[in-house]
Amino acid sequence: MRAATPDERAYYVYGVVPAGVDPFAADVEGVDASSPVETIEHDGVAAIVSAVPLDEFGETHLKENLNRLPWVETKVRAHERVLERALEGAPVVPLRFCTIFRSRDGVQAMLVEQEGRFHDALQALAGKREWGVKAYVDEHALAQALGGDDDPAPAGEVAEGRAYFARKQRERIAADAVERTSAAAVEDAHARFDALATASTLLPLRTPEAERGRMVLNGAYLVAREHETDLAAAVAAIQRDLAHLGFALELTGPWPPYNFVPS
Amino acid sequence: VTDGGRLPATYRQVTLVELVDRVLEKGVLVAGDITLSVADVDLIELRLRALLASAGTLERPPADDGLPLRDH
Repeated sequence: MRAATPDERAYYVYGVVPAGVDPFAADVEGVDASSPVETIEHDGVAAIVSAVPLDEFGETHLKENLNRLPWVETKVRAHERVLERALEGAPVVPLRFCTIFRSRDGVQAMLVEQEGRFHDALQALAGKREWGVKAYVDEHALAQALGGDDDPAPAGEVAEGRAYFARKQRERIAADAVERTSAAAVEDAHARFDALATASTLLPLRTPEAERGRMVLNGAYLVAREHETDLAAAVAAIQRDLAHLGFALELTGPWPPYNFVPS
Repeated sequence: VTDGGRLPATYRQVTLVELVDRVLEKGVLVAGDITLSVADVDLIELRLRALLASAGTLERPPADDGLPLRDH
């Protein structure tokens, strides 16, 4: 296979917005620092693109670069940054990371082919944005709040075996209580957020970030602009109600609607 | 933690975990001339998650004031 020369370019597509909106008058840096982010339009829809060098994004080089996590992180952040900027001015349909065409004509052809799908998606997304709510629980704090006496001093004369089984049983009951309380709180919180949303989805729970405890909710909500402050208020209210039980909630967004477009 | 009913700032700290959940896993799939295969994505995810599990949360690099990042 032949090596790409540095000036051979392809077009990286970030996502699709309604035509006529140019959210990129202000500069935003894309996946390649030397190429501006621009749009390619077709009949009411516009692809957000920037030129990328084939010696970085061509098939062979891309495969190699994907092995370098710092490269991946930089590009993933650039992809997100461009879509966030677009989102400031218009609904946006995010495309999958590293969707690349060899020419502007290729991007045009894709728009022609997918026009109906993009129109429908943009229509459904107009005036709405994706928000994330994550909840964590400090299980030790919750157990304390529920049980209180987690260390009843065993009488010295009680047979060791009996004390052991009694302690095991208390632990099991406490663990059940933590589980039940946690599940009920999360279900209630999700229902309240969902009621404010046009659509919602539960994402996989992730391993703890730093010391925030066990993740018990990882929800994504598509929310109309007029309900966004209600969502933030609901998160704050639940946080207030549950803080004493060891729960912590986190609202993130607005996100490009990754979770509310047909994959 | 959010107070009042205030919305988070748009230019917030975004954790890599959240980006992996969204940018790598989601988004409309169209047939580009060059695209990542499912296997590519799975592999990247696996590695990133392993890295995150060992290093804790990687935050967006500093100097994030809404200005373009300079990465070389």
